[in-house]
Amino acid sequence: MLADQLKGGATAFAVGALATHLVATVLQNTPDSYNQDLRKFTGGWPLPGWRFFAPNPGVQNVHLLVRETAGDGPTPWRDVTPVVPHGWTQVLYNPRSRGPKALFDAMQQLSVMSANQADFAWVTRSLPYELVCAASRAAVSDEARALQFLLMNVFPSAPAQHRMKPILTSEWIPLGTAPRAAEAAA
Amino acid sequence: MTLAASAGLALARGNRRAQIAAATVIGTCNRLSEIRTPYGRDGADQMTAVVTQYRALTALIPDQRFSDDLFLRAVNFQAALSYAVSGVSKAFGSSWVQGDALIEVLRTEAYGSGPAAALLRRHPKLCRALTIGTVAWETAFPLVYLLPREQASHALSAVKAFHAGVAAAMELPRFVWGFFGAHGAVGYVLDTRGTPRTFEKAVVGIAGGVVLASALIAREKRLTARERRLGPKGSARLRHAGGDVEYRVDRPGDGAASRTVIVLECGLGQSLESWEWVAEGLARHHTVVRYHRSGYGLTTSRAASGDLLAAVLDEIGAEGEIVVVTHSIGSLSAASYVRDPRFADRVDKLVVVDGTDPALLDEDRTDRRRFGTFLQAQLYTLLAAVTGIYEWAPNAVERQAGYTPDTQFGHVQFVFSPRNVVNSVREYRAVRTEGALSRLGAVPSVLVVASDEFADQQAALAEKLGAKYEVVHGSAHRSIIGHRHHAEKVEDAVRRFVDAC
Repeated sequence: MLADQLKGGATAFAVGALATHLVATVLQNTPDSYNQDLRKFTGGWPLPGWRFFAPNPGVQNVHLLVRETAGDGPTPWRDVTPVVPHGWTQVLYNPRSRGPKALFDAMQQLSVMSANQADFAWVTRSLPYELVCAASRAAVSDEARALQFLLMNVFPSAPAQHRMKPILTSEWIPLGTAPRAAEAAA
Repeated sequence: MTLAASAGLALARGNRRAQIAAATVIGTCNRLSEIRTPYGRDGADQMTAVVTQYRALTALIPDQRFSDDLFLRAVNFQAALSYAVSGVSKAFGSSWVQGDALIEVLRTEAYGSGPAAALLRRHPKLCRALTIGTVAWETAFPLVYLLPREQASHALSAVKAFHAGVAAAMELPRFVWGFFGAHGAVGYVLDTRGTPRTFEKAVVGIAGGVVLASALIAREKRLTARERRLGPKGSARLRHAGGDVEYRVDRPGDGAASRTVIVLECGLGQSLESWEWVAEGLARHHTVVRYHRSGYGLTTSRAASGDLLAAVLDEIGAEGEIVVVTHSIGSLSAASYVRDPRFADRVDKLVVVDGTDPALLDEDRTDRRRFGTFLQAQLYTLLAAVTGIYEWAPNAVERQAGYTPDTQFGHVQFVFSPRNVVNSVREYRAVRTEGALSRLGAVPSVLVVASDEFADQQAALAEKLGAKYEVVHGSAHRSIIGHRHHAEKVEDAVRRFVDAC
């Protein structure tokens, strides 16, 4: 009897959870961002977003530029965007494309914050800012005492005068030696 | 671990328990990876998560046949949804509809460096056809369930070829693995068509019911807002040129209004409530008039703005000088009458709040991409209005407006009225720009008040108009009059300007 009840409960749970997840996925996938985070109705279970490259595809290259101070004045800006190999191998297996994609995702989130005129202090505490900070730390020299990064959008299809658009210039970020050594090792 | 589980999954063909165990490991790793960082993931990861996590969840069901049936139907549902949503979303994107999206994506470093990308870039016409073709077939994907089995198999093969092509051109092989797997579930559902009550039909029914309920609730709220407008506390109306004009007049409570009348011109698709904070402040000393232009709200008259305003001013007996205060595209409405003989001697002060530069509007309307972007935004608003999404999802209209509850309600329902959205498109296309700058600049005293969002653009407009210029720091295009603390600065600027001249 108890076993039957447990079986019935498990079935009801699975059917209910799947139905909820599917209905929430339908409602979450409106063509624009007119949607709430419906994960609260699925107990935190992520909902897939199926708007691939739509409605407005990303048509820009995101570049991460970094400069640092090591005693004298700041160094010139350096482009430290992750380099990804291209070719037939990547048609079959392309795990290194995730780095630039992560940068792109972070940039998009920071762009939204910027468009919504978010307070800069709030931006600096955000997850995408921390992600770009971490990527920048890994790119500066061991002697650097502080770094500053710049996220730049480059639109290859745009007219020359509108091709480059800076997204965010960070504050000067002081660097501690120990954590950076650990990051480099990681 | 994922790699090992994947190998196990491949080798465990026919062994249900081993497959479930491997899927559970992959699904768990996928979720943990997402918790570690949500960045750098794509749709293929999502489809992998769907397949593996659904497999683990349905394994809880003791009835093996029911468990497998449910699993496959749920995966099929997500697969069909993924293509359809992707297609419909692209249909809302102007660069997709206009055929530019693919070639522009292929010019990026991330997605334009695959072996087939260079080949495609050399054939722009082919790219254009593929762009529009992608929108069409993705949107039409659910029709695969209506095809005979053999043709449906051919259609699925074509979709597989599409994924292989994407991998070759854009170096996105993960989509091949993620989506080919889901096609097995689509095949299962194709093979079991005719079953009267299925899981996916129930899900579609529930989702459709939710959307219908949302649409009906929103419609009911819009009707309530309209009833309020018609009621004793609503706006006034007068008959003019075969239709009604909706307007509102605010005066000092003690009847000591100055002879000066302040006319407030609304922005594109905005309600007269959008001026609430500014009107409230200015009405302490002046008579303040707001009205809806042709086609908005309860204004059914097709007459021009100047005619409507003249009728309203006659109706209320306003005879003194007129100060026109405009928001956004309202400046071009004002440009149509400020030099009209009926107004020219009375309008000697003009305040342009985040006004539309006629030259920029002309560029936006003649550039097909920019005009497409405008239409795209209006289409979203229309979709949100019809389905009632705006009632339960965050939106820019509510974010940039902070009125008292009744005013906020009236304003939001107004902006999301399908009729007003359609009228916005009509007005955007029809509003005249020829000579607008010279007519606005001919008003003896002009002040431009800019939002932070468009400060540079407004500085240029002020220069063209020979106007004084002020910025309301921290404000955006709509919040400059929608948030009280910004609106009070606008009101203060208007008051100082009126008093100083």
